[in-house]
Amino acid sequence: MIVEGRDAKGALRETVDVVIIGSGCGGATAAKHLAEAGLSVVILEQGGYFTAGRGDLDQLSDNMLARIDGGRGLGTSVNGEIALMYGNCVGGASVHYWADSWRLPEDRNALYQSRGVSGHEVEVLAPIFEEIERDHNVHNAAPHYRNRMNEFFIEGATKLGWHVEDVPQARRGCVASGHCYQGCSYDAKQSQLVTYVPAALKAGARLYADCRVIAIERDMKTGRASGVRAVFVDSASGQPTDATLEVKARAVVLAAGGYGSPAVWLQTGLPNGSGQAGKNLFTNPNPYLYALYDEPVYMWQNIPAAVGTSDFRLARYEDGVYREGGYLLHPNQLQPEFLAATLPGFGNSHASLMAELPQIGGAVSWIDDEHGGEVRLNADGLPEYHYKLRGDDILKLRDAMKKQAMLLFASGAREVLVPDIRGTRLRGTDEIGLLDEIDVENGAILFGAPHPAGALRMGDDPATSVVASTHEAHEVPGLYVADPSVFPLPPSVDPSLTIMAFSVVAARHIQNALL
Amino acid sequence: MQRHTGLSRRGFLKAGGATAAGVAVLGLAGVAVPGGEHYGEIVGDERPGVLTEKEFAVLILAVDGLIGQAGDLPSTRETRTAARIDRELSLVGGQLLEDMKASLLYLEYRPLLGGGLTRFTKMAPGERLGLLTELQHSGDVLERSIYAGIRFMAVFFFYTDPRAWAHMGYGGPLVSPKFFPGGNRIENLGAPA
Repeated sequence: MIVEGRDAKGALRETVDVVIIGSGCGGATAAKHLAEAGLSVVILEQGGYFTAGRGDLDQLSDNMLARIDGGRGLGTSVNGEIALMYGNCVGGASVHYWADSWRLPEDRNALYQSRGVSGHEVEVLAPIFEEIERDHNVHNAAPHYRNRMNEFFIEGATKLGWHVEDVPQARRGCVASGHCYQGCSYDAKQSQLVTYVPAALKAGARLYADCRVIAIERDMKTGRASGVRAVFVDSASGQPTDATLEVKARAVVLAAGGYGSPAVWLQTGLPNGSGQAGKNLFTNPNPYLYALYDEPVYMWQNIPAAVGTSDFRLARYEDGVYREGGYLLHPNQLQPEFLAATLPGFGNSHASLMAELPQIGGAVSWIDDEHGGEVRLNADGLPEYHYKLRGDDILKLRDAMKKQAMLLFASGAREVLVPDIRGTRLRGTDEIGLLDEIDVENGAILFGAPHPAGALRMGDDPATSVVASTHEAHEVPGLYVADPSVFPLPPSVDPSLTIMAFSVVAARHIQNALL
Repeated sequence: MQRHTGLSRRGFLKAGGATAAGVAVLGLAGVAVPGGEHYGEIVGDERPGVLTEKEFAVLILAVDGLIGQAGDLPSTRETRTAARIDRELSLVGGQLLEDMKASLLYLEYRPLLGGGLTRFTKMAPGERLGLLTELQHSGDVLERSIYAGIRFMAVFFFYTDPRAWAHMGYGGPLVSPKFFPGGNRIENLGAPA
């Protein structure tokens, strides 16, 4: 059962075993497992319910930003360095993700353990990953799903001696429309909207969409989480309606995403004895470059990144000094309107460049950032995201752009376009060194930041972390966090599978506590 | 003095940036008024929702300059790009709206900062392009942020108009459009008054 805001009237009440805030990879996975275990489950989703079946996912970038993206797709950090990319709809960010589906690398798992995370070891997660991959039909895409940019990527990387690998894809019957970021109009991308949300509903969970949590209730004596209060919002305007919902529950799961959960934590006044709630915000910022080719690329068609390279995933240091790496390197995909907005320049020269858009390709990286930012509330109680690239993260970013430029030139690009405010252009490999000099701070380039994590980090020491390895909050019994907010560092790959796997672990602990 | 701000699309002036721009504008206000009778002519039949007539007039001319011209592109008046930005600001509100208002006023009076005796909306088209270029390459992060913030909105909302797609070689969606009341397409705009 799904109740949308427009159908909610008056003061609604629910009494259940578990209430889950958020319906993305974390929330939907927890809901499925808990409902299938026989617990009564209610899911609350702040965003709307938009489906391919109803024709909502119409591939129009402006419409889809307004429907499925948080902040209507226009949010940035306070200093304007990163674009906050997150979902605000049933299914969460998985509705706009690229379907890249990696397991948490073993080296990263070991790093998590060294940061105090237990109970999520490789042998624990392996069978969970197997199940998730099966449920989401994760597979390597057949060659005909490689668009021209993917082919260029293979050509360039091969010339440079870099290993190219298939990027595992969560798809079923992909029609190669290329509109993945707008939400799949064909239910082919295996987002939570078409996988674990319906599975949870089938197992008896109920879902309220357009439902914004305003309080997490706690028992006066024990401090234990006992439910939530929420208001319904108008799906179009986001403004509250008169309808409200109160849920009494034996356990509360916070799964509002890497940007959303720390905001909810702070807004609802949950305790923060460690001082860590809202801190350690990692965002996986992604530098990108464009390139002009002599033939059509049509960057917006087919699968975004059917291939990529992990050759530079691990940062390499010599004598403690950063040398290279610390990111994934993939072909890029953007729809034409986003290409227009992110290609530099203005006026007639920009209009001329737009006429060459079919010949423009590009590459993208996701930086494993080490220096976290912070979520704070402003004077109006609204979240602000403070994030500044610094230290080795800037060196990684420059190195990633240089590797991208090498690859683009090696694949035949005649010119590389930097999306910086000044519109820097590289006309050959001898100019790649310019990437060490251009301004990349204070919003000189707007970097995407699609993978927030860490701002409610996990660890078994309550002095340095917010949640225990059971996912239960150190200071709030009965409150569990099941999303990337718990990661002590970014997972070094697309986080969707890791979020789901961690969420399964969380569900098991909740199950043990309640059954 | 640190006035560092950055390019962004929501709240594109760092906290304090809007204030800085506002102070600059206020400092010029005595020089700048009167003389705003021409705003109505620029705005024409459009009726902004959250921008003032003056701010909207600046936006219209800024969008014109930022988009440029090509044979097969529609005009920014036809696409009602400024009106769509005004609608987006009305839906998002908050810091983005505040920053955009401050930025538009800054842009309007920026020529006076350089010792000129005119304002953005009174400049010839070529002069406006020159001013936008100055902001783009300015050593002041605040000015670059103003340029980048207005530019992003102008380009995105212009190129989401289907009439601009052929120019980019984009064939458009493969499924039928569905009207969304919370959307910001030209069909979401009321008819001009």
